[in-house]
Amino acid sequence: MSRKEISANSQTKNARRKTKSPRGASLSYRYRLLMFGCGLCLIAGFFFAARQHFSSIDFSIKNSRLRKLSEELESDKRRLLLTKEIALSPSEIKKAAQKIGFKAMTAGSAGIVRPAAAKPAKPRAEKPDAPKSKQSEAIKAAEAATEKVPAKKTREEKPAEAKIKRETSQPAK
Amino acid sequence: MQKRTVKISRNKDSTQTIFTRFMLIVAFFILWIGGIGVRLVHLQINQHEWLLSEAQDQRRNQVKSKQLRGTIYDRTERALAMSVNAKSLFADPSEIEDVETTARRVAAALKVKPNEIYKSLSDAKQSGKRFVFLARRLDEDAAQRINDALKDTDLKKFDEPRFAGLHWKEEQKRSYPYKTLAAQVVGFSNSEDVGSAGVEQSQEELLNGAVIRKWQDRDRLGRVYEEYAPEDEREPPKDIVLTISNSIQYKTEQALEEGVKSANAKSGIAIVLDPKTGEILAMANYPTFDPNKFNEAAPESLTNRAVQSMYSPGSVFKLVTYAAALQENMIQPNGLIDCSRGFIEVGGHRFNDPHATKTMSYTEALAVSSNYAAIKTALGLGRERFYNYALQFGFGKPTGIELPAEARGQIRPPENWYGDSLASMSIGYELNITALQAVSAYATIANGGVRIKPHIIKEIRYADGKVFPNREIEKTRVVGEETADKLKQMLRQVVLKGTAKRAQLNGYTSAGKTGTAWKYNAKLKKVDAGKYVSSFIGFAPAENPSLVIAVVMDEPRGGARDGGQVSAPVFRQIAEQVLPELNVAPDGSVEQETLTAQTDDVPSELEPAPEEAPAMSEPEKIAETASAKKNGKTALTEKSKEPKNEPKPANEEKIPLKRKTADVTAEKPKAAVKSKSPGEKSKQKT
Repeated sequence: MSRKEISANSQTKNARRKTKSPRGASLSYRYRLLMFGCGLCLIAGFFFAARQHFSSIDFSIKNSRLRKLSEELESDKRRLLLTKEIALSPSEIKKAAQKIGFKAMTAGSAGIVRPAAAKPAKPRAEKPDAPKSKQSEAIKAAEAATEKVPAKKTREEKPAEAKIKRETSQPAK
Repeated sequence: MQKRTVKISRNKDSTQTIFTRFMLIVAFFILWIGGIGVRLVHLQINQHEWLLSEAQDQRRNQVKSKQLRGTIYDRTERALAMSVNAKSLFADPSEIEDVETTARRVAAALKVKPNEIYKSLSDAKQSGKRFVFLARRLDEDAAQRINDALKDTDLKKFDEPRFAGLHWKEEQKRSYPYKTLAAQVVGFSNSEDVGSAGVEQSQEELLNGAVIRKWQDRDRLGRVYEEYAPEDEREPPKDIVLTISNSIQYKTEQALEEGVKSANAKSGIAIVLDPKTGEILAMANYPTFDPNKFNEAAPESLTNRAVQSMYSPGSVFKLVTYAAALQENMIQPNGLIDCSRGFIEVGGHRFNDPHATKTMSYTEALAVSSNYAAIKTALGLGRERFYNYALQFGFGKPTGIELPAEARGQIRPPENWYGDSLASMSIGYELNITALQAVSAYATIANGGVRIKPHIIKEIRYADGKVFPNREIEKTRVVGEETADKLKQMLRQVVLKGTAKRAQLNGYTSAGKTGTAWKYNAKLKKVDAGKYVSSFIGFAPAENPSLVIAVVMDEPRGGARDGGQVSAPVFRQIAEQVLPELNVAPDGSVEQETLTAQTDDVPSELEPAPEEAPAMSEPEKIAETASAKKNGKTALTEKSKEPKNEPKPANEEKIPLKRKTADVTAEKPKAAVKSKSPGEKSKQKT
């Protein structure tokens, strides 16, 4: 190959290089832009993920606190229920009633209202009923009389006493 | 040209060098990355588990807690037993540097002596223990006070109390808001939350809460940011609704307490039962205890005597005798029986009867609680039939109520009976029953002859409120409806004209039977004439009973001792308060003047104290037989004078006097014991 031919070839190559270089420059620019975009996305993703992560932990902490609070409120509710039950117990109600001056009702102090269809009451003129409170007092007096018998007796006393009691306690026939 | 060639070769060398260097760097990086890769593989595959646990340990801790124990409600949804959260303070001595200062600070916060805390902490530190309880089951307010008192501002600790080495443990505290109310029925759970008595014990499996393990992830400041628990390994505890009504229970307990105190009795039992459903509305024991302080209670007061204690029922058991005879058409309520003899001798044992003074109807005989009539009736029935009826009424076996340690009662099979056993049993001796069995038997009559298994649990409820499928209630017909009606009428006369006049109610009709039995003295090996079990079991209204109430008094030591005087008034007090509460309309057939019955008007059930007379000698026996023959009758051969509907006595006289077995623990009347020969006595003692 002659010198001319060699120089012609090199010129052609240079010319090709010259024509190629602007195209390569544009590719590189796009490439860089892409790289930058991807990098930006990646960094944004990292930030986003980090933000999500920390906010998730933050929410979890808040959630945990709320759960604890809910449990405590549930416990408080049970404690209040317990207090309510204590206050509603009959012994407490009785104490409260006595404090404000109520007295326990007895069968003797209550008037019985019988249905109309029931057995008609006996005419009062024939056999007037004693006041109920007096009746209960009479029963109480009778009970008290029986209670007055000494609790402890000697064995020798028993048969005689039982005999007397038997004699007096025969039902009226 | 040569220069150019040299230049080209130099370029070639430098390129080669750069390439070689580049390749070296690449190789280095490959080796480096490869090494890292190998290490990563090693860490992530071979050491995965260990690393995982190490990482978890750094940020995660496990918290164990127990589900709250199920609640026990009464039938009106009032909580009789419930659990609440509580906190227990404990120390980890390994985390405590200055034990003395800690002990002083903790003692000041807990308001206790510092020496005790110091001793327990120093002992634990020396022995290497890492857990020492300092205070148990404190409520939220007390825990907060302690937190404030123990706050160490210099310490970086997230959890309270902010004091080195001290921690809180979540526990639960069982509370019984109604205190002594139904204490023996509800029972109590011990310090480990395990049911130890009553429903708490019998329903332990349902009430007990499972242990839940929770994992908590914490950040570097110790704040919990993640919490998770595995799926529940066990179902949550269930709530139990009892058939008990707190109001009825309270009234019953009040009446019983009053009755026991006025009779100066050792203890008392009262049961209120709905005969139509078998539901126990109240079950009271006196003396009682507060389950919140069960450690301070007397051991005998912890027992539910209504189901765990047995006693000889005495005349209350005549119900079985008469029910069997009526069912077998052997007697009629208006049939007559000659009781004028005043005693009956069976199997060598003379049974005295102070009420046997004339010829009377069976209704009248039951009303005055005639032993003679009951024994004659039982002899007519015979051993097998009597025993079978007793079993059918539910005696000799547990009722199956949902309460622990229920006694089955003692009633021996006929092959183990003595010559006089049938007679003794017909009047409620030589056998032991529980108060619940007795009330169940009377409920059978009140319910038209159908026995309904008594029960105390109304329903079992899941945590979400769903109700456990209902169990079938066992029903058994024991006697016919006609028999039950006849018996109701007979029992009504006991209240109107007999031994239970004090059981007459204001505005309601009532029926029932008294019982007064001598107690067996284990030391003396015979009945003790000074100690009684006095009872009354009745129902109201008499025609269509809504309630059956049993009242049993153990060893009344006041003036009055028999069931009609001691237990019947308690029955009246309970019934008069409970019937209006159940909206039972007054049947208004009671005349007010009968309520004023004085003590002398009520026939006493007490027999004379057993005589100390020895067993009859042979000449005496002959003399008595001769005198009986002269009068034309013997103790067991009075057929000529008996009315047609009176039962024919079985051949009890043929039964040998010799005891067949020696397993007797039931009470026997003292007179019966006295009449045995020395050899027989020794057998009975064994």
